[in-house]
Amino acid sequence: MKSKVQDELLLNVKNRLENCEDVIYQSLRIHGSTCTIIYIESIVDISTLHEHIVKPLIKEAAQVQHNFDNFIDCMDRGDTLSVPFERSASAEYIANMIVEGRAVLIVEKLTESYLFDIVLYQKRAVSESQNELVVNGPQEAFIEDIGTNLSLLRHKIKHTDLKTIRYQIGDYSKTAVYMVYVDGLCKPEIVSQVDRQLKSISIDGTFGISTLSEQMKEGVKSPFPQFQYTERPDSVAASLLEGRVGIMQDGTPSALIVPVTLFSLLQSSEDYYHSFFSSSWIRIIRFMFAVISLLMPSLYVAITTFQPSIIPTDLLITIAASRENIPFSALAEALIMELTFEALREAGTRIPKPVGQTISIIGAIVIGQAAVEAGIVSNPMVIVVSITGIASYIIPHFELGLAFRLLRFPILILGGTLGLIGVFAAAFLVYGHMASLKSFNTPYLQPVAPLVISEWKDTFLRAPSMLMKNRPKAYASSNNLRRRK
Amino acid sequence: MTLLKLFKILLPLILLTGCGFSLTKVEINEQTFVFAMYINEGKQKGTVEVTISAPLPNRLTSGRQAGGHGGGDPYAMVTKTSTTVQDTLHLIQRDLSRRFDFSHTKVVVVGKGYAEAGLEDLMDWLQREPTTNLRTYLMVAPGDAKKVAELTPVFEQMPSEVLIRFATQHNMINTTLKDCLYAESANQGYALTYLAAQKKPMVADQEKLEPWTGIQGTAIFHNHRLLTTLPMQESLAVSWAVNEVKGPLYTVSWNEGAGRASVFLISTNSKKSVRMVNGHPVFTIKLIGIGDVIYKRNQKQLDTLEAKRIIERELNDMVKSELQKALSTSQRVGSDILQLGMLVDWNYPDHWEKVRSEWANYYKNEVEIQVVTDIRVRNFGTTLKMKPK
Repeated sequence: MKSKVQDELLLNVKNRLENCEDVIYQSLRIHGSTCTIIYIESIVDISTLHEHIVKPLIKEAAQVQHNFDNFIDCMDRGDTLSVPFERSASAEYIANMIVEGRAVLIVEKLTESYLFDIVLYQKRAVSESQNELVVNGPQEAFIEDIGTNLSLLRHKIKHTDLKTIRYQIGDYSKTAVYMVYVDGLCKPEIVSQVDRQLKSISIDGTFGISTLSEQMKEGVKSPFPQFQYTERPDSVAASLLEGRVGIMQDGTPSALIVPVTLFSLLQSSEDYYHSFFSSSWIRIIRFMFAVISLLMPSLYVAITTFQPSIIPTDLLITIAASRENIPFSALAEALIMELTFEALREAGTRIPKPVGQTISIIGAIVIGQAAVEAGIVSNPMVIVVSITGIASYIIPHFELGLAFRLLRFPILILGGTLGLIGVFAAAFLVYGHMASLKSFNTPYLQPVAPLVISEWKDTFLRAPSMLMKNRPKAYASSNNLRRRK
Repeated sequence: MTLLKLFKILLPLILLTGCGFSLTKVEINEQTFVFAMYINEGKQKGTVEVTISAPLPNRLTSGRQAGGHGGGDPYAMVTKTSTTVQDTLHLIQRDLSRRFDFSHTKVVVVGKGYAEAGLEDLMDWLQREPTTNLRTYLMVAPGDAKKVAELTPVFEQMPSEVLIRFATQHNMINTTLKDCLYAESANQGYALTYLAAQKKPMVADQEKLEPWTGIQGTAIFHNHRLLTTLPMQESLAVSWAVNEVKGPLYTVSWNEGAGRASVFLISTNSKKSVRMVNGHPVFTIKLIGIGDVIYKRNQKQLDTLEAKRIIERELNDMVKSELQKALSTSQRVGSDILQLGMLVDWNYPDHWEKVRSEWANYYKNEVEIQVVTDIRVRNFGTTLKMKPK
């Protein structure tokens, strides 16, 4: 008296999961009917499966006074098993759910099977933030598991207005993506825009969060990042309270924050964990070195080859003396050094950790020193390139640092061929470009362009928190009073 | 469209550059930076001898510090003679493997003979050459300007640096090209530092006799022509009057040399003013100074207020008479070295328009200059009394 329907369902599921040899089919016989539990061992919680699904089912089978109908009744009421379940009759859906980590119970004679969500992926423990270090303040960072990440975030914001909207992105990867925001603090337009853009994404799979940002049509307009990447829950939480929107993806420890401005990318969460004196001073230093990292090599080349008259005389002699036997022009010298430095830096990131630091440092010193002694590059150039290199690491957001690193080369070539006029024209164009950029309808240079002087206290300085009564105008909704007193 | 936008953005930038828009790219090691120029009259009449002095960076290669010169001096001098300064420089350039750059020319020394013949030629060149600096110091050498360049730079790397230090340390009046051009455009005169060149035994160089350069006073010009020179003390008073002297030291004596004291002036200041008396300007130059007594011969004089008053009186008299002497010399030759004409221009512009063209003569004959001094001793200092009563 085998049900044809049930047989067909099992067969269909089996067909779809053909050649997937990590799928386990476990059969039980309960009150005269065959039940099959299907799951993938590596992605389900085996102990839950055994303790709360298999064991109660066996017990149920041993209940002599029950019959099949009682059993189905109890199952449907949820009396037999403590694990929540959903039901489905679609073989395709069931197969999809199995590869997403559900355990499926197909009962003979029943058209609908039971799906138990007992997914458990391999994950690491929450660890310290690796890329965004702070001295004071919280140390924990996101991990690859979205559940853990949401729990880290809910730990920081315990409010019903914290909304988490789930999306599934990737035809094959079926990655869970969450948009998180605080209702009432952020502008509804931004939420609906992010929502629209996330829904419109259609790709095979997404593994790093930058795939998302590129798909969202905002990320390819400019070398400057339109998204802020962070691996720190506290950064996300603070941004949400400013009225920004977070995007979190399963399988990656970084989250996206939108919208961004140039100045938000030049802030570090550490700024808010120190006294405002030191934070303000650090911000000033950061702005100074951000400019240095963009312009210093080109200014050096432009001044030494076009306008040596503006160098102080003593410095001029020093530079002239060290450049005396250099076979290359200043521009070529700068390009050689900058390219070498970029290569060293890239190699330094890819080298396995145990050898990495020593080799990159020694490599830099040896190459720099030897090149100078061999008379290929001059000493001041090595200093300029090193300062620029250090300066580009002072930018707290890696993506912005990358943009500056990239733009340095065209500016350098302009500076080396047209002199100071070339440097200024390039700086002008970069500034113009940034002023025209918008990240989710927020001007990139706010609060400088458009001018909002009241926000400068948290842009160029970091005013004491009692002075920062309002949330930033760039993102916040009408409810922008941060402090009531 | 995008190109047009780009052009619109960059247009103001290109317009802003003006005349300074130079696209000449010269590597720093393909230029030679002239640090000093020395100008003499040529041996033949109507010629000029120009010497340029430039550092040799290859003798100052990195690693080896300057001063420890391995193969000779770290600077080079090239001399040529031709009819004008411009021609001569052109001749030098033709023989030189590197391009001139005058943007770091800080000092121009002219020989006395050339100065007496007139500096118009040089001034014209300095104004026309685009790379020269208006802050270039001008100085006068007694006789041959090259002799000054031969000085042994004991403390510095190059002779030109020694000369620049003379000016920047306010040892004497530090007249720049700009001052000269200002003064001359208003038909006034100017004063340049007058150097001294001699031989001195050098302790640093095994007591060898080496050329040594110092300051001996100021040279007074009018119409770019050297008219006369002032000795040291008078020059110092003039420098004070134009606020260009720092920390001068005066020693006064009284009672036929029985009393003597030295005063180091911590702050010096001067004020110039003009008023019209009977249709002619009367200038008042006030020298203000505050000093410390740093030496006092302790015989007979007690450390009393009386002694302080004597010192102040003697000091005031001394400075006043020196400035008066200097100014009477300048009036005698008709060179308004303090640019007092400017005061008339600012305060009585109508009167200035009348006398401007004849200012030299007017200054010589019709102008009265009063000198007022207000020099005080602030710290008199106490000394142990050897024989207390």
